[in-house]
Amino acid sequence: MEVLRLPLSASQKGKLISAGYTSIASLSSASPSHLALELKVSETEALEILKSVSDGSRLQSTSSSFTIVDGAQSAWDMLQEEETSIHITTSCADLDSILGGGISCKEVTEIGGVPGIGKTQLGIQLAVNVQIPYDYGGVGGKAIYIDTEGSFMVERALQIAEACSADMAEYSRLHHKGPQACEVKTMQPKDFLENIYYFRVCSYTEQIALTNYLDKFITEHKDVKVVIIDSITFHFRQDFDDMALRTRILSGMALNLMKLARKFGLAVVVLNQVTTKYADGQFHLALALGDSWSHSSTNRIILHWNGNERYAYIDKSPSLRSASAPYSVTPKGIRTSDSNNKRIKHV
Amino acid sequence: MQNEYLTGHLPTQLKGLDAALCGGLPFGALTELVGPSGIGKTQFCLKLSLLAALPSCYGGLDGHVIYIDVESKFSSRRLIEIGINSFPEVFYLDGIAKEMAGRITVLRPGSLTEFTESLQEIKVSVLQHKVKLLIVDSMAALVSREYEQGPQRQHPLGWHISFLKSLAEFSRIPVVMTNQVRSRGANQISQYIFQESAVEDDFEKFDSRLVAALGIHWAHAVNIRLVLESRSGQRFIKVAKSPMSPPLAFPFQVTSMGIILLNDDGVEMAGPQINAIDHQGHSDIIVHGDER
Repeated sequence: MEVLRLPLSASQKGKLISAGYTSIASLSSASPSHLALELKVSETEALEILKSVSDGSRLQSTSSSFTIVDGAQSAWDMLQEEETSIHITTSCADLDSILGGGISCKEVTEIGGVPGIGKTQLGIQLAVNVQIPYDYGGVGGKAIYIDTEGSFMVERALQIAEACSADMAEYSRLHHKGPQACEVKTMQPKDFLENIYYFRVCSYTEQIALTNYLDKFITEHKDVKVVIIDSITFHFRQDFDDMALRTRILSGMALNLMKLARKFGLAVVVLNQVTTKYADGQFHLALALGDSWSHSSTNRIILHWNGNERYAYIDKSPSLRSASAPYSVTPKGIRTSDSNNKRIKHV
Repeated sequence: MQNEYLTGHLPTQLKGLDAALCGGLPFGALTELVGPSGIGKTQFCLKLSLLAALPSCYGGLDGHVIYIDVESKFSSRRLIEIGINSFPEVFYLDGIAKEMAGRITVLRPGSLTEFTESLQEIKVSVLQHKVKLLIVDSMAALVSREYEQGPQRQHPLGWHISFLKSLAEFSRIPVVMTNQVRSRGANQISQYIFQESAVEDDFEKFDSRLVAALGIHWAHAVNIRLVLESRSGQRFIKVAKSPMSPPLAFPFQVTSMGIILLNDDGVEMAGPQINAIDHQGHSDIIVHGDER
């Protein structure tokens, strides 16, 4: 069960989430004094929070159906979890709407497309958007950016962060008129950059090692809410002769990432390249790394050109319907495509 | 957690392009120049090697340059000519031409194997000397003989891409490579299986188009792709792929000063157009006029 569903005030929930407490289980062992210190609230307030947590979990245990195996979850519980699951916005309204609110936490999402379509842009945008505070409808987390290609540009990240910061200021001006507007702290562009943990990976050995280390790193940095790998493909496409070994390593890595996503309730975004594939007597573009890899991600989004517009297409998802939506890459980052005549197309 | 040292650029001294790229070619990244023959790729490379060699008080990087010249197109005379015309105040000084040219090491591998060997040697010398720029002109020539069209399990340049990228990253230098073009093959694909093939009728229109010689795999591997093309007699340099700049096109000219932009503002291009390589109405190779 999520902290979000507790009968607490929004600021309390925000504090809990930014301190890394997202599930009730994580709060069950916390002592009031420890919690008060971590959330920077008074001990009485911490005690109140813990009380509502224990109430909430009792409520949950009575309502949840009985499971035969310990540690298992019934589909009913999962449904309740799904309903409260958090999403990271992509800053493009059309894309968010086909994704059901944005990139879903607890899942592995793969994004692929031709060179120059905007994969890295989307990656940087997500690394910034994950930090939008809870008060602004965001997740208020931090980001891990694993760069295998050397395409992450600090200047660009700063531009996107500046635009995001400006949007937040605008939002608070519109929604919090009056004196309380000043109380809501606005994030500075520099803060955004400080909250992105950047790893530059130069070989596939490093990539494997880093994926294994992530578990430990995130345990120490509980507020990480998105892991972006840009791209998973690069090192495995060069200089790798044994295809069977490649498949095994990649599926191991995929399992690892899925485990991370579930364990810490964070979104894993994996960027992939495209390749050419022969099917039905014709060559087509397809995402790289082969057929067995395509099973590895929960969601798969393909970015492509449609005429002069960039479109995102949901290629695979267990819950979302196949659809495509236009988006555009602007100086501010990923935004809703400005031509209004084009609506979302459901396939 | 952001490393400040990540920022570092080799200014191209083309104002519009530098502005679009936030200061120039970034350190630690692979920059690719694609274009038809004679468009000015080598001219651009020569200019860049000069810029990297120039003393820092004149806007250069004051370092050594390694120039891997696969197609035997490097011309020292042209290099000095560009230098004298673009930086008269520097080249006026006695012996500076010799010093500048001396800082540029030219390697001429004859085959892919030789290229591989020289890359391994470079790794050592990049660290020993103050190498600030690595140029490979051209990458496509190395494999054009062996390279076949169509899907391949392993790219012949796979190792080299990896190596160059890690070299760029570890030594914090920009790496510039050129790529040739070939005519669009019959089975040139730009469609996914889920897209209905609606563009078939456009093919005649696109027939004169060229595509980059190294395929999509290669295109993914580079960080920045600059396309040089000519449309109705006017040459354009286009930022086709870049993590930080919008798809801009700048008209340019090759003069005795090397490449110069005619306009620093650039035209923003919509859609996949930015990747197209046109080659029509070619003007003279080098415009020798009375400009300055």
